Amino acid sequence: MAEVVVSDVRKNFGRIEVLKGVSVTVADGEMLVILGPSGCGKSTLLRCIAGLETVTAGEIRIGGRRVNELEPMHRDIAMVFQNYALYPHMSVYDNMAYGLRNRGTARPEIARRVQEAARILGLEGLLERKPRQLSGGQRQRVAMGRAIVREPAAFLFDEPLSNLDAKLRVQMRHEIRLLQERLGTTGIYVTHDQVEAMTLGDRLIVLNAGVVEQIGTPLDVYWRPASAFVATFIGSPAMNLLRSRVAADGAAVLLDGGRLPLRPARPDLAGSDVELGIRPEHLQPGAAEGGVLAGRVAWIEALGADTLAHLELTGGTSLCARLNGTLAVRPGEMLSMSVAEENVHLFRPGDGRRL
Amino acid sequence: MHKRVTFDHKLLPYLLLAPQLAITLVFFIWPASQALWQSVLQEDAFGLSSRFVGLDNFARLARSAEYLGSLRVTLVFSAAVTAFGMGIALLLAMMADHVIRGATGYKTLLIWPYAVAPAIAGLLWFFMFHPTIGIVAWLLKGGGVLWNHHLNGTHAMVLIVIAATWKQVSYNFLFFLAGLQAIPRSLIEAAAIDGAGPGKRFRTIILPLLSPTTFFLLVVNLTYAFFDTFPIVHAVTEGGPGQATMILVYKVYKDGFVGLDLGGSAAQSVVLMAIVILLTVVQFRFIERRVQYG
Amino acid sequence: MVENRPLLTFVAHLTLLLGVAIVALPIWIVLVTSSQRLEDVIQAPIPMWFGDQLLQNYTDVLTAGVQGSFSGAVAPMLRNSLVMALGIAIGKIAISLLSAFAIVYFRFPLRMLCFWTIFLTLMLPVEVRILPTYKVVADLGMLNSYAGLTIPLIASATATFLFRQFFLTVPDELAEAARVDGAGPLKFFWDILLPLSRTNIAALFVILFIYGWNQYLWPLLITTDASMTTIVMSVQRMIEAADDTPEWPRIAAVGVLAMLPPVVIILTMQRWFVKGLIETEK
Repeated sequence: MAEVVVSDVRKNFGRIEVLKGVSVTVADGEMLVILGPSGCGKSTLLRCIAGLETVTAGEIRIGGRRVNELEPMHRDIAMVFQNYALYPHMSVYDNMAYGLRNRGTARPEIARRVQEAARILGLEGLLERKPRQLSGGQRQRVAMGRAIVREPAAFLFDEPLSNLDAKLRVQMRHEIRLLQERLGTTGIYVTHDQVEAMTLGDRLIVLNAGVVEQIGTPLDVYWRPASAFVATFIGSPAMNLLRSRVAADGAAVLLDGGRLPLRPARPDLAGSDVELGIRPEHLQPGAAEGGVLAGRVAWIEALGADTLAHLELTGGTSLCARLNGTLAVRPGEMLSMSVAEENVHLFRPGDGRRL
Repeated sequence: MHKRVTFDHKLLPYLLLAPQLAITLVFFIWPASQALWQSVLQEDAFGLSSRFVGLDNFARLARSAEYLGSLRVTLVFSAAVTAFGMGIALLLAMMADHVIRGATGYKTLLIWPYAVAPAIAGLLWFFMFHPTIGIVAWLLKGGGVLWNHHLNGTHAMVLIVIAATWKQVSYNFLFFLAGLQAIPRSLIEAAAIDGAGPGKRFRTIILPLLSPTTFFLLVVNLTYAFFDTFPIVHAVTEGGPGQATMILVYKVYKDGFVGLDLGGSAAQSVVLMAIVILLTVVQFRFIERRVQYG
Repeated sequence: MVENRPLLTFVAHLTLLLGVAIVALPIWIVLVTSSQRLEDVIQAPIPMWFGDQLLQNYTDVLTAGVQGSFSGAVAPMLRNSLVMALGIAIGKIAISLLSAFAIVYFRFPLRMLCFWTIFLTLMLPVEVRILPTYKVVADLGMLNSYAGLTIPLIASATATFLFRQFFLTVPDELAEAARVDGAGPLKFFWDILLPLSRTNIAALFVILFIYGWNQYLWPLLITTDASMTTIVMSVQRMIEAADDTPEWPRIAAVGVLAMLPPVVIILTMQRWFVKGLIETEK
């Protein structure tokens, strides 16, 4: 049980700066998901917290204790690896017991903890097996078990589900969440999968190129993305980003002859260029009270429940709308789309920050 | 080449490397440098003093008819052992690859000469060709050939070539078979559909795809013939009759250990070292290339 | 092959059987000869089937040896060969494991220099540095000793490379998991890396045992004492002696004894051996 505090952590590999000053506090018992595209530094951040990498600058505290100089084993953490990293020559029991033995835990205590973990994870019958005799999901559970028996201050997960097939992933996602809540252990979870991030995390931290783009609850990040990067990274299909201009009175955005009213008005932005963000699922056909965009359907992707309509506006801008699958839409047709004004996002061109 | 994960420790890696490095330095690097040094020295007749003679020892080698003769013997011997050893092995491997059923059985029956020491291989064939009791010599006598490798240089050469080849075929066979089995079946089938018969497939598909293995074995076999065949020569012919089977490694030994010509033997060692280095470099460049192309 | 050609298959089997016959013939003859009475094998053609002296001949050579070969009974030679082969195989594996571990899992100054120094041993076989190496061993007082027979031969670039290759394929996460589990480098080596290397160790053991057992030039150089003779090097003296006292059955028996241990090892451990051989040279 502990709070994990990361303050202005920087990490360089040679001359390349991978983490450019990351600060975040993970509350006791909270599950924080680190999300970002590959190469954004998310795994490096986790490995810095684990002690597998040394930080170049900044400080990491676990349970109030500065751990920068401590070896992984002394940081009171447990880690679940992407490919499980089970010791192939050891039985399931020995895999879970190895860390405890190294710490000189008494035998009966080891047995008690391993049995307990096996019971929680449904591994009771498998303790004598070798990892290669287990299915992917079972291996994943053993990796979890190895973390649980340590009774650590924090669990660290490094994309632990990416080697599983889609169905198993949903199930294990759920199990991990239940387990972490039940044990009440602080968790930090790295993933590039936004669904995993949205469903697992109490809060997300979105990283891009070593910089924190946003920290917030999943819904916060979805409804109020702090930057164009976050806006397009979360949500599928990705948010439409359209180069446009705010009207001279600051009360609307102008786009290809269309006009989307801004409420409240933004006189501060009057006449300036902006990136206009609209999620495909927020574009609805028909003229509602909101603004209207009109365009020709260039092509469609019928997914059954939904239909993705790719529109070309009169000025040539293209955007994507996610429509109810029961609507009959055909290529070549003209469509009028409206957007509720709370779903209109504005970002500053250049740095992409939210306006 | 590099691991992402490493351990931090100042002293430990050196301690771990110490035994290997110590042995390497004491028994490899130091003696080799001694050989280099001695190759430019000449000892007097009593071994009491030595003086620097520059490249004289090498010049002496280059002028020595005996040494050049030995070089020629070595080349003939190596070429013969390599050609026969690889040819026979390739033939057998092709056949074993063809029969599929029973290939493992043949493999077991063919690999064990690898385990036989070269000296013992020499003994076995010495037995086969012995003028009074050897079965081959006896058969040859029936065919009108009086076999005697004690007296006939050509006979002696044939004998050691056979013994050396016999031992090496199993090694080559294993590699050729592995190489053949690594060729995707679909490729051969595609060629067959394209109308290539077995002979044509062999020339246009199998042989080119086998060329990395072939090239690798070529280097290994040359190294084998140059250096590892010392026991066969020493045990069976002792370089004779005359100089007929005096291969270079045997001559180094003889001139150094028996003839006690330190400078001359050292110069010969240096020449041999150059040959090994050349073969090793060729081999490694090739491995590098193979890694690159997957 | 793609086509089903019975004739081709027949020819293939025939060729292979011929190959097997040629490989086996000398061994068969030596084996058969080792069971004969001397008087039956002094003149070709010699019998092609076993005689009745098998046990007698082997008992004789093990306890008394071959006359005229100045080397005495063969039993102690077998012991010497065994000690040498085991010493070389185990020694090479042990120091190569340690070096490969250091080179792969540590970063330290002079790392590449160490690597290349070990690499150099590939280029310096005994044959090319006979005299100076002999001198070093003599100066260290290691002539006529097991230490002299084994230690100078146990530096091994090949084994080091094999283990290095293998260690590089061991997932990084395993080392990280071990660190999180509180294992230091030596504990990781002993608990994780060594058990994982078992197959490679077995394969190398076969190859190196054969290499060690079959050593010829080296024991020839540094043993002068008959009590240190190895069985493989005794062959030469027997061939020399054969001109005067052709004790063929006994010479044949010694030959069989000399090849028996490595052949048994290669046949029982064939699976590892083939894998190891092909991987070592890759």
